[in-house]
Amino acid sequence: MTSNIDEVYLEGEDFIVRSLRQSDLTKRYLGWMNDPEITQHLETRKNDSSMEELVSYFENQSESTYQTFAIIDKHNDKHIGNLSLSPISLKHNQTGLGGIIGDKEYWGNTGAFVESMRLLIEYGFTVLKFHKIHSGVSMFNIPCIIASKKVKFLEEGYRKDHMRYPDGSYADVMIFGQINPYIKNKKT
Amino acid sequence: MEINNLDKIQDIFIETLKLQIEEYTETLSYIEYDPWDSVTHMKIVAKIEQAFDIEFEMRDIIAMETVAKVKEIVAKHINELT
Repeated sequence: MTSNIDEVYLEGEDFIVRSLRQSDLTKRYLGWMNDPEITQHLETRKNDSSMEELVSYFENQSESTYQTFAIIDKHNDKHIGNLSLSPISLKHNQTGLGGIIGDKEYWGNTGAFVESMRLLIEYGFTVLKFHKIHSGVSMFNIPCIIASKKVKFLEEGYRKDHMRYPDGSYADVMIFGQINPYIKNKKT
Repeated sequence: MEINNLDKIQDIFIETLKLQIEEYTETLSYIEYDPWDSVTHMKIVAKIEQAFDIEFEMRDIIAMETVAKVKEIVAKHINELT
């Protein structure tokens, strides 16, 4: 079982963001994807994922479609969540950014998500040289909205009633984006 | 906004973020100030709602990025009540 991308390892003050590894595909990780509380704000939630699907998702990563990264607490080497660059568009030189903190012990710690996103955004702009990184966040996901603003994502707008929650309610989705600050290549 | 209302907001920020008085400024922002994280933000929001007997909409909660913006949004709600 292999993925199609080179190993990435980004070290911050308290957290490490590195490529997802085969050894990360554990029942614990699968449990995150099937926990409605953890996945409630994800557009892609399904809550009946199997280990086979997790393996398939891992193996099908590529530099032109999506890449998934593990967030590791440096102090105890614990895998606490994931970030992904998805969907990647090489045509438009941009990528989406999404993620979850699966370990609920870290839910009160916005710092984990903020530091991890900063590391991956920096990598996306300086190494992968994307022109733009963007994300969509449910209005009900206040921690993620605040984290998005802390990493200097700018609000680009709203998508009205774009997400339906399990209780049937609809939520607006805030659209965030950041243009690569290191490259000036705007078409005039 | 009346002085006592401004004081209420100041007290909530100083108590929740454990600020020194000189750190409490109009430009203090959750974007720049790391201790003002999502958990702290929701505590500030809840305390203000309780202190002023108002209820914010989700967009207000998100827009309360700075002390100045918080004051502006609270003032809007108070004026709506009067």
